[in-house]
Amino acid sequence: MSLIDLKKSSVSKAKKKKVTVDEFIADAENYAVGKPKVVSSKKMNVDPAIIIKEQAAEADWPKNRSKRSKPPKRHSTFTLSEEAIAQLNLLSKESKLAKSHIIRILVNELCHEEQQKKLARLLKSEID
Amino acid sequence: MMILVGGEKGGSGKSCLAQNLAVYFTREKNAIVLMVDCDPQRTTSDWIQARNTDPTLPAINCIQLYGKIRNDLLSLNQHYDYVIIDCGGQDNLALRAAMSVADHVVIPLRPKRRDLKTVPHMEDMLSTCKMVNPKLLASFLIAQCPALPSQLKRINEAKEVCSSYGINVLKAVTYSRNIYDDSEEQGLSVLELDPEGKAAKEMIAIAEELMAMTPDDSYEFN
Repeated sequence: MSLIDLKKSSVSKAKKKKVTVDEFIADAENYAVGKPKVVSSKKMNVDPAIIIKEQAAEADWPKNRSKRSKPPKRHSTFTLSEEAIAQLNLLSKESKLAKSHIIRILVNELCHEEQQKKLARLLKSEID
Repeated sequence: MMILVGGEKGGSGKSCLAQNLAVYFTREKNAIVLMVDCDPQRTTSDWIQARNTDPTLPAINCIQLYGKIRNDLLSLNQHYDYVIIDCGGQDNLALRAAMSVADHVVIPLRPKRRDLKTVPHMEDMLSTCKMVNPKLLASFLIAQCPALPSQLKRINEAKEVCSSYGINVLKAVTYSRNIYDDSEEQGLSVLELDPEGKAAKEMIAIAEELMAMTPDDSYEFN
């Protein structure tokens, strides 16, 4: 395998911050704990614990999203047929989602522009 | 003159180079040389101990120093012609302290991906150090190269990678040779075990290339 990809990719024109001899030497201790302030600070100056936390949050993104951005809700009463109630119960059991949650998903789906046609078709339904 | 042999990668031949340079200056230049062993593994101290059991060999002094050794080195430098500092394979206080006062720093790297990955950090460290030690001359040395002709491309690529970071790369290289281990185990240099051998020529070439470098006094590497 070629080593050429390890060549410096871009020339940094940013001027280095002035440091004293003591700061330069003492920074070795910061580097040893992964928090350099003088040398390689741009590459490493992030707490590893934060990186791990962020990665974990990213992995659980859909879950966290629903937890973090829960809009306020209130009780609503609607009238459904026995059949619709049974179907909703079945859907809830199979998907392990709350019935209210399923209804919210359906409403959200139907609100999308591309779903408007489907909604129009549903409105034409003769089901009581 | 203070010559630091250091770097962030272990096993790249730092102690071996430091020891052979010490013998070169002692034998070829009749200089009074002090070796400073900053590596807790004590490779160079053990080598000196083995060396001192043979009274026919020219004596080389060695001390162990760790931590913030800047003032110690400045003081010792006044009493010796050459102070050769052997720093272990990590970025630590001793490496930076030595770098802040050294005339030369030589960083041996094998032509391997894992060694070359340390170059960005070393370049950042060297260019920062240059602001506090303008006389510093820094060089990468491609060491322990495979001798197979088919591997020449690898050596040239390693040099090219190091050069891309704006730090000098020595023309001289060292090859992987058993004589380096054989001599080290006996407290000898390759210059003493086989003065006409290829390894001896490699070490002489490195020393001469370092000594031929024009002194610098600038805050940036050119």
